[in-house]
Amino acid sequence: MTELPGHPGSLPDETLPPSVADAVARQRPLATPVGADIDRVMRQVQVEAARRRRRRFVLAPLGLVAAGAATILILGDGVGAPTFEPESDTHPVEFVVDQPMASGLAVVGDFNAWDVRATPMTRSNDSNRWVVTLQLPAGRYLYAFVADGSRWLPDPAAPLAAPDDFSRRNSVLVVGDPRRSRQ
Amino acid sequence: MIRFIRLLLVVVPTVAFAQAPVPTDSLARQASAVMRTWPALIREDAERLLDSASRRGVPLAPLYTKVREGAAKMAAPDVIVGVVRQLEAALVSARDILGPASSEGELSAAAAAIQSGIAAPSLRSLQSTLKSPGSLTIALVVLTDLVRRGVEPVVATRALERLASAGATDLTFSQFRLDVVNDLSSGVAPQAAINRRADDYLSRNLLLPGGRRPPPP
Repeated sequence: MTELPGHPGSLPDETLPPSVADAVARQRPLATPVGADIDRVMRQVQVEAARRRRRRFVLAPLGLVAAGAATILILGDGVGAPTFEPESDTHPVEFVVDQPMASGLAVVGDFNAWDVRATPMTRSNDSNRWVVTLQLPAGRYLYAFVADGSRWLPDPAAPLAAPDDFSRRNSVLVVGDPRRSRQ
Repeated sequence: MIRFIRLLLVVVPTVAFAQAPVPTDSLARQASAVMRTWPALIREDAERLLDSASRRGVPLAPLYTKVREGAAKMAAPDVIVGVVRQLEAALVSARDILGPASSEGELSAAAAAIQSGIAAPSLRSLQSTLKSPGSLTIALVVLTDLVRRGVEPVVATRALERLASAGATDLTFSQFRLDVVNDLSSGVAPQAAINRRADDYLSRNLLLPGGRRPPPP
């Protein structure tokens, strides 16, 4: 059985994608993300938990991040989007990037109207990793990182977007079920 | 486990929760604010373009955000309008190919594929081959990414169709992309990498979690 830290549920190992089971077993650290199918995995976890414990699911912050880590490890690219509430309209999405030389970093994209000041990232205390989490509805988003207000960077682990014709490269993020997109 | 939890405790304080994304009407206002700074002729051209897109039923949010993206990247107004025009044309083509019931995400992903040189028959074929509902956007994102990394469009499409016809899910496509990208990073030629991986996925039943075979159609 595999149990995610801080999460009141568990699944038989054979029901998890091999990469998830392997990631949890190895306790690997956070990497960069994207989660398309994590919804299904986490819903399965939630259903299992509800069936066994017959109690209301309460989302703890640590549980959220732990499950986010599992999501991130599944796909290892882009931005993960675990959800614990099947009826929820938005999904927590964590953006992570290593930029040791930057003094400031922001994520910009379709979700914040490409406003460089809208979503600054926070440097973690013990590393060169920059992190921010957004609540995003299901859909497909283009995004990039901006270091020190002017240096544009694609997410090195995420899928590449089509050429943007502005001489910069974008990355692509798909959140949740893209059929339930913004419009 | 303890080490994992310690890591999370370090990470938790660094996470900042931000607001939900900008709604479409707000995007329209923000795009308009950008366009008001442009020369009159270019602004009028852009307004005609957006009006036309609206009449044709093209989703407007991608066009508004493209205006904002261009402004954020300090592109000249005429360049931005040209890019928006190309995107609008690609969205129209995408809707014609995928059908009017397609979501904005699917249309945007198909438009990106078209702009990356992937032909309409390939998109139609991939769409019709998919068995897993909801996978079209992911499949198109993966297809575009692999083509951008040097795989020929026809070869990439064929490989994804092989996976799709065997019941590949979103997770399959995403993991497949990672595996091919890793192979490319190791110096494997693009066509060899994608074909070898597709063969591997199919022969080892890696299409579903746990190596299960997809249910019969």
